[in-house]
Amino acid sequence: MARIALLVPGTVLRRGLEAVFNEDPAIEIVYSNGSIPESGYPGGVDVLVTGGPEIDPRLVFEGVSGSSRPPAVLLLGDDTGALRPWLALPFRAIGALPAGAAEGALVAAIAALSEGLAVWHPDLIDGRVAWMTDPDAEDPDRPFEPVDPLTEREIEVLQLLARGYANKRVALELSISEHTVKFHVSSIYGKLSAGNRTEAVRIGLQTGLITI
Amino acid sequence: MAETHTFKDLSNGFADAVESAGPGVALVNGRRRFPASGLVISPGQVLTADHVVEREEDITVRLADGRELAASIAGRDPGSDLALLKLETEAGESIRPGEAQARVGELVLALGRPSPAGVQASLGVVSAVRGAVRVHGGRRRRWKWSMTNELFIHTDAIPYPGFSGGPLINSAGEVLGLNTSGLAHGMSLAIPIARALELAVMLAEHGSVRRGYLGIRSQNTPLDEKQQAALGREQEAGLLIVWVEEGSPAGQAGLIVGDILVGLDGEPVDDHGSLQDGLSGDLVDRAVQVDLLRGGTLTAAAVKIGAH
Repeated sequence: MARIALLVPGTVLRRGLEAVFNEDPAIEIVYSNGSIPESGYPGGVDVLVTGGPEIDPRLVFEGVSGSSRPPAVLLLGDDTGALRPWLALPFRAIGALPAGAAEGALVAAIAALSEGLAVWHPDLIDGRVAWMTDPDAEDPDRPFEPVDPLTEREIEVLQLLARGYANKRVALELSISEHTVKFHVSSIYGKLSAGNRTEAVRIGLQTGLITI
Repeated sequence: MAETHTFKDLSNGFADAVESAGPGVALVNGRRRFPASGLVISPGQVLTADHVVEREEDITVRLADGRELAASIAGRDPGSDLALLKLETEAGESIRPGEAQARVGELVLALGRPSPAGVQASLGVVSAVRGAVRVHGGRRRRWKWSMTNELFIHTDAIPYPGFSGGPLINSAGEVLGLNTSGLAHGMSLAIPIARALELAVMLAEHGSVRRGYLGIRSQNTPLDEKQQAALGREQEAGLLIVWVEEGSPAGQAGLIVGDILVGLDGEPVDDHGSLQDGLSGDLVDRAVQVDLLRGGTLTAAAVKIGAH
């Protein structure tokens, strides 16, 4: 019998999970709430099911670190970046599934985690395994930097786009043809992986390309 | 049965709200893919989301009465995702802006007119009026949460294709905001109508949003507990200055690379949006206090804000 605790802020998701796990005779829910219990966790939990930006992994760990055997943790969510702080803490095992994981996957994950095995959904580990195991691998969460840097001219064009200038006005300002402006704009989109001006300007601001 | 009447009343109320706001919602044809929506803010002026205006010529607007009119860009601001279109004639029935602010939990409708067939609606509640926005970022372009101080109305109303530029309305049919899915990759956000109209006035007058100029380039940086303690308030992020233009207002005031900008004119700055918002007020030529964390200590500088 796997004893599990649900720490899931979303009521709808929590009720859904309760329904799934209650169906399985090999799983017993010993705690289910949206927040960390003030009185501490019930003892003997094998797997803690949680997720979401509201849950602070450090507080959860503090809550369970007194128990003789820390639980395994099953994280639900689609944000791979959120896994990192959990991985840094000595839980017994960590698993991650997307928030919309199928019932079978949820039940199988509990069985594996209660045995101390890790569980990873393929959608959540793309590029991450390398990062976790190879100290030289790039951190997937590091700020976006264009692989191909923008040229000085492209930065000038982006700067003017941020001011809301139309292509014509950019052309006039930089004494180049409108056709050349269009060429630069399309190159900026490509380098910043932007779909439109709004996005290009936002990325430009966030990455320090645009002077404010 | 009383319950039945209540449900019917509620349903009729929504339909009435759509009927009342619908005439102010226009179809905006400014991109290759499907059309989007816009708000008639005065006869001849349509405010829409900047990201749906992909071309600068051959833009048309179809009004609720079926008239299709040529439109030109009167002004645009990619930073706030707003574009103002000027119609060839002073036509169109204006929207009614709501005076009250959106309340969390309030039932709202997102409207759009992405097809000539008529206005479309989707129902939701106001989920938040500011806070965490899920953005696409990182080298591998993953989703992550980013706190924003910008005042957006978040709703769970589904932003169907072409709803950007349309209104978010309350049960009385008053417009609370302008919907856009262009600011946070598909997430349903609305720019509060008072703010949108304020920016529309600037777009009409100057063709762009006039913002004060500091002369810095910066990147978001999280603030740890020590830095927040030095700041004396809970603020999770600031802007790390990575470049200062020589002779610029920031350069003259002694701002240096490595400073973390955390406040402007008494307001916290925790992302580029809040800095841009702060600079879009009437600050040009004024000496304004800029709060900085330098070497872990809070310091202030008086910067005379410039203009572009």
